[in-house]
Amino acid sequence: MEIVDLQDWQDFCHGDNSAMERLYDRHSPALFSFCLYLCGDRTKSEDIVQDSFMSLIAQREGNKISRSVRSWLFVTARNLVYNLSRRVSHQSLDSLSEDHLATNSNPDINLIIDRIFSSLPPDERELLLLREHQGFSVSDIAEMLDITKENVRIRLYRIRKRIQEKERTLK
Amino acid sequence: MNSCEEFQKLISVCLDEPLTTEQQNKLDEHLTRCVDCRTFQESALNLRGLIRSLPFQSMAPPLRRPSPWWRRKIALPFPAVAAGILLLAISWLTHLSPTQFERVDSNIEPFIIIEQIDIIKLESVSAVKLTNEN
Repeated sequence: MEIVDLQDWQDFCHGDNSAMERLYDRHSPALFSFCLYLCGDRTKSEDIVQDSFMSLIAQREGNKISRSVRSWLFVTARNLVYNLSRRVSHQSLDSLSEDHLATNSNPDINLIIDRIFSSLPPDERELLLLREHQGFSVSDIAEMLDITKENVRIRLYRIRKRIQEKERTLK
Repeated sequence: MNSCEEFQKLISVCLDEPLTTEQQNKLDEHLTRCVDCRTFQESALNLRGLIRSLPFQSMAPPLRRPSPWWRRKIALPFPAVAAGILLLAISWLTHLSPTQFERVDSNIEPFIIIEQIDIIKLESVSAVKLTNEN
């Protein structure tokens, strides 16, 4: 995917606007899902996806993308989620809306996932989503969040351990 | 590497990156005799399965920007349009100026028009005289 992205990005920088449409079609569903599962607000997530792509378009001058387009979009979206929740009525990301996962076909799974996400602070929820839902590698995540790979490994271990302990108490 | 905590850290790492052969062998050997670590591995794999089962959500379709008024199609009923055209035609005909009249009836000889105007003038002058006399 990265090679295709890079090609599209280069094409866009050389004036091919349809390349940006291809990038949008390829990445907007995953980006939107990430934002939605992170902040739990559909409208806000849609705005953030649009803003992320607008920021990407603004990078056209001088071709200023230092990492992969996909990572760049996720980092931008993630920063926008945090900035927006800080700015708009000081809303915390700790509380998620109740219906944000309601589209999963199995209601029991919805309940379990809701419980898992609600039990995690935003930074851990974000890490779990990047790794398990979006499939970013440990090195990618370390680069995106500007932390060491060892830090990513330790945090992932703690999340998994905490969820296991929570499961144990529920049983 | 002796404690279960260390092995569980290794289980977690193993889910994200390949282990060395030595690490993998030690872990496999430990898992055969440790129920707690197997439970942790199972839980971590379940969590992965759950999160991966989350569908990619789709956004609402983008709203279309309304077209400018000059491009909009206006649906008017035919009788209203016909009545409007008729009214315009009547008002145009009733407000024709003499010059426009001349232009329209260009086949009429100029002296006939002058004669007509003279008759109209005579009639109006006589009408004024009559009113003055009364």
